[in-house]
Amino acid sequence: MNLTKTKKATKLFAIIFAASLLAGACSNNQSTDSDDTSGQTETPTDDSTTESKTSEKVTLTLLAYDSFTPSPNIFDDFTAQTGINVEISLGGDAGELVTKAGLTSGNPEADVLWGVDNTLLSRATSKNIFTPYATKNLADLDESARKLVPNNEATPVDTGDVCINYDVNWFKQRNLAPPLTLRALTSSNYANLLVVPSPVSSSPGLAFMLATIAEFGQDGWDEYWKSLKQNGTLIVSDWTTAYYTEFSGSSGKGDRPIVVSYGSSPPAEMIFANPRPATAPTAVAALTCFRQVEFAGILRGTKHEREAQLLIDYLTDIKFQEDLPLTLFVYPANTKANLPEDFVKYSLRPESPLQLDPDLISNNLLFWLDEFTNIVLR
Amino acid sequence: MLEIDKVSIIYDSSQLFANLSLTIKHHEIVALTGPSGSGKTTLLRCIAGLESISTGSIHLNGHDITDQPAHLRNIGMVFQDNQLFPHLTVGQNVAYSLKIKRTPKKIADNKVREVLSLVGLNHLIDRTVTNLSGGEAKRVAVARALIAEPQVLLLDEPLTGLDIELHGRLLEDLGKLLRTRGTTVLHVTHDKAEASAIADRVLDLRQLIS
Amino acid sequence: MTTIYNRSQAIYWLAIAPIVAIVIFVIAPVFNIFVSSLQFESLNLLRTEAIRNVVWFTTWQSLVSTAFTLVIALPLAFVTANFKFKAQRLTTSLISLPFILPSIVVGVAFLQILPNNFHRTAFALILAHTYFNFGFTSRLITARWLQIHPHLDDAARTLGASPFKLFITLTMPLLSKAITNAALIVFTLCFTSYGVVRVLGGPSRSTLETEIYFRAMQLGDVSGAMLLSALQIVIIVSLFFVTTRASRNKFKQSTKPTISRQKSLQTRKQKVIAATIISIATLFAIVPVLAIAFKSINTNSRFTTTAWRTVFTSPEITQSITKTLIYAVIAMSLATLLGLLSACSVAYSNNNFHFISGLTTLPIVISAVSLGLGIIITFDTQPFDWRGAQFMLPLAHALVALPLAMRVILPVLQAIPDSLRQASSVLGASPRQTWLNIDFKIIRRAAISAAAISATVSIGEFGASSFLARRGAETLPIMISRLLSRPGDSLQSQAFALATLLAIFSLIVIFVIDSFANTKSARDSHA
Repeated sequence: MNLTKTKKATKLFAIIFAASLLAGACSNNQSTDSDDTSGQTETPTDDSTTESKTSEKVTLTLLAYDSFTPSPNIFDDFTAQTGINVEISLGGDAGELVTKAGLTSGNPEADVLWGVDNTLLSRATSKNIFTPYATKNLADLDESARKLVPNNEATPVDTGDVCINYDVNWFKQRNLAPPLTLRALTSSNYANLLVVPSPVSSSPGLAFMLATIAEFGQDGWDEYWKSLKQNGTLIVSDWTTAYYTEFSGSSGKGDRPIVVSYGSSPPAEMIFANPRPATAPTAVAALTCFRQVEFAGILRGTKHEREAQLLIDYLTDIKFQEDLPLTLFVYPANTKANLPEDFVKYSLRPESPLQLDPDLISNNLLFWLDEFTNIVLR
Repeated sequence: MLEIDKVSIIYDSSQLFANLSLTIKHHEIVALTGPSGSGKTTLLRCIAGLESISTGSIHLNGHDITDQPAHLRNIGMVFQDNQLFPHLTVGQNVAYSLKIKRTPKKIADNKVREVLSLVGLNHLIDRTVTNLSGGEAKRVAVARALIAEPQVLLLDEPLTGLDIELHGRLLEDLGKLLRTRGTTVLHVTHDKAEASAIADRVLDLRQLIS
Repeated sequence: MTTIYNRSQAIYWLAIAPIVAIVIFVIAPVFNIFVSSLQFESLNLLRTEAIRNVVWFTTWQSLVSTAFTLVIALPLAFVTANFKFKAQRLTTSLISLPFILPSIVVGVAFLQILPNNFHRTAFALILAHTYFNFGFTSRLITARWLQIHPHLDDAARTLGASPFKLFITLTMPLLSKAITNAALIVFTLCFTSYGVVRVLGGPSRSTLETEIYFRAMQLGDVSGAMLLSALQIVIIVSLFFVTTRASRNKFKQSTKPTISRQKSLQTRKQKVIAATIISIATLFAIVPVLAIAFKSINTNSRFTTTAWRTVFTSPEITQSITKTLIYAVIAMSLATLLGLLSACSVAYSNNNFHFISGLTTLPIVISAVSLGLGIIITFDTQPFDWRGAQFMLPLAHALVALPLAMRVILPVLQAIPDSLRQASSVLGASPRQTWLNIDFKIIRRAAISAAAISATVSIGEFGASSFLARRGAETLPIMISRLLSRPGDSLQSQAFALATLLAIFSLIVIFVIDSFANTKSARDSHA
């Protein structure tokens, strides 16, 4: 009796198991088939169908990272102009976005992706997640940013810097000159004062590590980190802990007056402080900055390519670009966009920040991170 | 001998009885009757040390055990629903008190077999306790309590819940067993016939209250 | 276990829903992503010293966390199961609170409380893990303890067992299965924990789960990540296998006794011990929450209620709260239903469907990363393009809550002696009537407990569901996480205010559900 019941049970389970595996496998095959056909058959039909479709409301899905927080009604104008709705979908941090986009290449979860940065660019292009498009605003966009995408695989939308930030008052009170270069951080004057988020788990942390590689070269950067370590640098997991707990210049009132953060952090401290202080409590060491560029792109396989192009145009238009500083705390890629007063007053834009070629980054990232783990974290 | 002197018990903020006195001599089998709910079980639990009394005292062989914890009193109890340990076999249940005292295994094994054969259950020594019949379970409970050689054995309504056909046989066997071992027994029941079956004295609870 | 239901065909139908749910939404996606990403070269990963260190750290940290959890949970269970005291319900609800709090919130709270030299230590990590788990572990053990008839203890005492001997020879063997079950769950949760490790463990400490995330997301090495995920599954499943083999249920236990084992505190010694244990436990549960609440009104050493005012007036936040509630209700119902079905199919099938027990545990054994990515590549074709669908989130919540819900109901179900059912059917009741009158009545309390646990899991869930794309309003934990990672003091304070709100709100939910359970069972015992 027991034997037949076990047999029945196993049979039942096996059937359901096999069926769903089949379903799963089939669905995956279907998507790869459509990869090959979508590129060719869709474009000619798209133009003709879009005209008939403008009478129907199209909704574009804009996939972005979790901290994508433009002003609430920023897309109202776009909808008014084009009749297209924009729905924002959040998908984790930038790294997650790229991984997921890579896995769904050709059958994307959305129409437009916002948030690939220069450290992730090569990964994105190698997985062929974007359909190239040259926006009408291309000529107005930051030149060095444009150089990173010569074939318009993606469109630069904003830039930022990851720099050493320091607590102005802390140094003033002790009559010490704050550190202004990367090399200075290894000086015993600044022993036990620096806190850095780990490049393994933090995007600004990674940018800082890349800055040191850009500055000291692939042969010299490990020596630099050894000195930093000997000089009592504190490594934490993420930027939030570094900035809001360990840094003395922000709300956490920590012990360390030097931190890795953004070039836009000093204006942020001013803007969000309540009450507003008289002078900026923090400042940036411009010579330590690493340039970050963020891109947006049309996801290959989208059913609304024409509409997506219009959205990319809008994202690089003055109106949207001017919203960026006070919402995302980045600088607009569109050079014709105006900056808010606080930004002009309290942030320092380095003229020639440190940079590294995206392909170089992509090829060596694992090796560099392993090195870092061995030197600094063990 | 067991002396219960002017004992009152308050249970759940209602007084069950006041000033109850009772003496049981060595080797005596005393039966206590009274209607259900009159507090007989509670009295047993107090004697065993599982509940506390409000006034009065209990003496065992001259020692005041009123405040002594149950595990030191050496007063055994057969519960109405047996309360056999479900995770142990029949043999292990019976051996329990010996295991607690750290009796060496060989001696313990012999004692267990001896007592089990006295209740006629040697063949069940390795059986799990969950599928025993009512009569078998009761015998195991008795064996388990007796093996510890208690100063006094308390029987709480031993026949309640068992088939009527078993009553006679069980009582007879129980009576023989207890007399042979000379155990001092307090047998509590609501059934007068059952009470007089093996007891030397039959008392009514209400008589003992002054 | 043979029951009168064994003859009924209905058992097979019971099993279908949970099996199908797990196979479609857990096994198939994970299988899919493994098969499509794994490459042979990744096997080299296993040889590296780095990975071996990671596996070692993950394992011992989970073991120690589990041990600490039991060390706190057992005395607490002892007091709650054996005594009744004032504010008992409040205590029980309070200790359930830590489990719901999102891991980042707990991480940050501990950073506030612990002195600096404890930051980024394994100790902080273990403490946080213990914090999360001691409450529900205690409740699980208490639930089982309450099933042990108090007269069993009495019998042991009359046979000469001192309190210590009683615990060793009677209580522990009877509790061992519940303790093992709880320990396994705690171990799994600690083994696969992510948020806490990131915040408290510091950059040099990584577990398998953080490695999996790192490889998949930061490096783009999905193959390596999936290999580690497979390794993770192998380790946990082996552990389950080994421990459940060793503790096969050999004996029948009675159902909830009509006599409660909870007595009022009498001796001074009892009062002191009980008071100490309860205070330590409740303080432990509350202090981190108080720290969070404190941070919500104290910014820059100044007290202000701005954060709270923003929270109560922001439509976005109100939407988030509503959404969290709705998801919690859906997830709770689904998880309880599936848990009930799984527990019934295991209990009534004479151990043939025992594998369902293992199957329903899969959602917490499998890395959230694998599950999330698997779902994305599996449900990607019409009409099954559910990748961005709203219902996927509460579904994910329900699946993560399912193992716990089932484990609350199953032991109660298995403990019902079939004689009760036989008696009922001898009196003429059909199997359905018997089930309603006997089984259902008895497991009702457990089902309500399972619902409470599922609701709390859903409210605080952050792992699996954070990998699914989200549109529109978000659940509170995700919103809190977003606020914490953005610049600006006021946003940080808002995050803390929301976290406090989450805590209060969850406490109310638990308390209400618990009270409901208590009144129901009070009515039952009078019936």
